[in-house]
Amino acid sequence: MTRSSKAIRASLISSLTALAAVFTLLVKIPTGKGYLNLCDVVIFFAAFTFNPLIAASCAGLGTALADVIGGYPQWALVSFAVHGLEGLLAGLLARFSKPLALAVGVAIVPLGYLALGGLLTGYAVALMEAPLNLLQSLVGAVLGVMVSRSVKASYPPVYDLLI
Amino acid sequence: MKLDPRVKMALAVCLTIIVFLPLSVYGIAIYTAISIIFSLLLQGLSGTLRSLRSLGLFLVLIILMSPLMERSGQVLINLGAFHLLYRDGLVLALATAFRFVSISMAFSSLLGSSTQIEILMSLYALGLGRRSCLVISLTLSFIPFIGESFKRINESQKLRLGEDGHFSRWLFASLVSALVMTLRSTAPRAMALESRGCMLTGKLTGLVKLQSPLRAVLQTLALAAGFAVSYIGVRLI
Repeated sequence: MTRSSKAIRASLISSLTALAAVFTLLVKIPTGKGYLNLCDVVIFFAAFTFNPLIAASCAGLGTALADVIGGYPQWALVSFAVHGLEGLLAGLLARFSKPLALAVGVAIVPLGYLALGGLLTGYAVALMEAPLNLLQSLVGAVLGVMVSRSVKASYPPVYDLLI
Repeated sequence: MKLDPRVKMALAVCLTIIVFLPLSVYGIAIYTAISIIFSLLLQGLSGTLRSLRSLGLFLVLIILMSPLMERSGQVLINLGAFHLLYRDGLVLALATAFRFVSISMAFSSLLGSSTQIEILMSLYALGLGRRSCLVISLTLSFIPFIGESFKRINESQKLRLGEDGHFSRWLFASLVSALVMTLRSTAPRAMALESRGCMLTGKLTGLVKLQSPLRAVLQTLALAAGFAVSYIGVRLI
């Protein structure tokens, strides 16, 4: 890797990570049980546009930093693991089949929060939150695919950033 | 109390691991009290109260929902013919709540009493790569700028689409615009990084340094010994 591509990679990861944190903290769609955030939009965009490592880095780090900044640092490690895995698997599978990448990415979030979040809050509370996590992930994935297409159409130089 | 940030990280990890070891509910309660005392010493009363307040909703959910998962042992509360609360359910709810408070206070006191640069330098000292630290540092400096830009984009899209513009339309337009704005700024930022020599290899100079590692190692050893002795003590009780 040349020095220039290292700088672009660092700049791209930090920009997308910051955007994932902003979408987690600022975009809140009200639902009956609480709020949905749109961090998954950036995660699926990164997975479908760049490579799995970039998707995993911006997903894990962005959501973990959002938890720390938002005043819920106890969730940072859980978010890092769950969303990092979501970005990694979605990015890996997107090379073979996009619908499979979407399905796995959407399923990872509720399952991951059920398994790891259950250790923190107990499985009763984690089970209660699973439908909301599934809905959030699903909305994020659908919007992520649409946004990804739209960004590629409206900003073709995005292909120059591909590493 | 002034602790090295590396020691605070070790403390947070110790308090997180120890509450998952086999302990009675009284043992977990003791470690919860220890984590609250550490929080009071490290971030003061106001910081501790602020951290505790943010746990309220989850604690209510844990206390209400956890007893439903464990329906064995002595019945404590009956609602007509329905057994509402069992002893084991109450113990599970209390253990989960204490564990949650202990972990939350450990991480809140670490983050509430350290500056951003201290945490990054501790992560670097503990083995996180220089480039990863750079990415975290850049991200933390971008978040306010991107957040502010996103708010402005959002308002512009709302004005552009008018009052009758559907929520999903302006949200979608805002998301696309924010992503394009972020991607457009990637190349100039990379050039700025390069011109500052950020991607060069070799020895770097630094303005901020942590205290001597010897002191941090001694504090960590003292902390580990304290946890080992307390764990044996709690198990014996």
